[in-house]
Amino acid sequence: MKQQVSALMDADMHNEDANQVMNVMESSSHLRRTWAEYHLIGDVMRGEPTLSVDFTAKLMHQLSEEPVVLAPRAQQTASQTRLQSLSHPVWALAASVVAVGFVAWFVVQELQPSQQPMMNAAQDDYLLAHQSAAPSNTAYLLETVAFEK
Amino acid sequence: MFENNSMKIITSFVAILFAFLTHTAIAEDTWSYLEKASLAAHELSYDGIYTYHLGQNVKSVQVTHVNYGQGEYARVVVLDGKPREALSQGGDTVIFNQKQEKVVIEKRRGQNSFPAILPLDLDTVKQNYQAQLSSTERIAGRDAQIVVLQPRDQYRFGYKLWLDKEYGLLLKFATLDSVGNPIDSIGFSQLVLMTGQKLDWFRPSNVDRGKNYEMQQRQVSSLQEDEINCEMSDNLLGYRRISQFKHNMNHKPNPVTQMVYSDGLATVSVFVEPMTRGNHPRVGFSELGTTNMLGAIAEGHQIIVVGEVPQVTVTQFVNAVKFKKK
Repeated sequence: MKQQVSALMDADMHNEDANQVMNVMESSSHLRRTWAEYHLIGDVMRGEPTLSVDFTAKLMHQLSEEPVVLAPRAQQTASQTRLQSLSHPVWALAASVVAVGFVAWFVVQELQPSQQPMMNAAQDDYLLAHQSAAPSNTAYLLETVAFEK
Repeated sequence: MFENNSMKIITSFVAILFAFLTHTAIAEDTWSYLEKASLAAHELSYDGIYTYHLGQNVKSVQVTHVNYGQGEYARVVVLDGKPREALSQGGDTVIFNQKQEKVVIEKRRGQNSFPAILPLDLDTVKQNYQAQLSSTERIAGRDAQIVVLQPRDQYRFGYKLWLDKEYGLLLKFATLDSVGNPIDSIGFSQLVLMTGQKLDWFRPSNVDRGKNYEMQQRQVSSLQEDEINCEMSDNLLGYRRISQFKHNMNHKPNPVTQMVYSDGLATVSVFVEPMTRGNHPRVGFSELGTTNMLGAIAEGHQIIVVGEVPQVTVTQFVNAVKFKKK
């Protein structure tokens, strides 16, 4: 099964098989941990910033420790009822899922290699400033030139 | 019986001591090759052509260097592609960059280029690299001794140096990845040592005098310690801070702070600036030959780290930026 988890990580699997592996993973905390560990290993090998293996568990634990706000309920009017329906627990849950999704998206954005074109050696202000400050370089005069067509 | 044993102990002790001394002597000897090389690049007079290889890119460059007794004079001319050349006297360098309709002139200070890329003081290099004597090879018609500089940790690349057996001059230089394969290399294909002290070559060789000249103005000034708004250690992963600058870059409302770190051979720059509206955030890695760059956003600031170092090093530098509590 661990091999299949590894294959799923590498996207080296048919859709039906992937669904099956994910279903099995859903019911097995052991496999979920394997999944997290494999990702951690990958991150370390690529030299990316890493989260600890039990990051998810810790986060969930901290969320469950959050105090529940208990406030006296005001008298309801018709318009308030509609608003209140929005603060129903289901909505709160949906909102927090969106928030987690957004944070996850943001973190992933930060860790992914940039999709923009590579730095343009001849025009990148930061690269030029770096090269002109370096006391010696394999070829400070050349590095930018080497990429000019 | 007892005497026999103590004799054994003494003999093995002497053997260990001897092995230790020879080992130290060899290590010292290897470093003396590098010391000779760093002096030779400044003291000798030479004229040669070297090529710079990076992936599919190859550029040939002519270098002429004369030590006149009272100072160093050098001219570097890029022979392939766009005409570009640099003249330097002592620590001052003037770069002529030929564009379509004009010649852009840029001045720099205190920079060295191949073959003068080893620092005169090798102490910082010794702390971060191990020197190993390797085999010999012929480069540009000269016999060369190979020395490999192995990094002491994963935060820097390794280097392979080919040193002229007779004069010590650095003939070839390669940057190695973590398994020892070259990423880029720079080496002489032709080299003549000169005895004369003529300076008639010391002028731009190929600059079109009919074109207009333009002095390139980089808006750079030095930066006081208390002007830096983030807390960065002076010594990070074996890299020491060697300078800091303030840049006024194009289209930027706020000045950009630059802190420059060196481990003796490799250099890392850390740029920090406040994020402002309309400022495109740069986030993520980019790579170009041995140069790695990482952009990140933290506490309302854009951080960019760039250096001729592995990706893990720029990542650690970005993570090390901490902002002062207001």
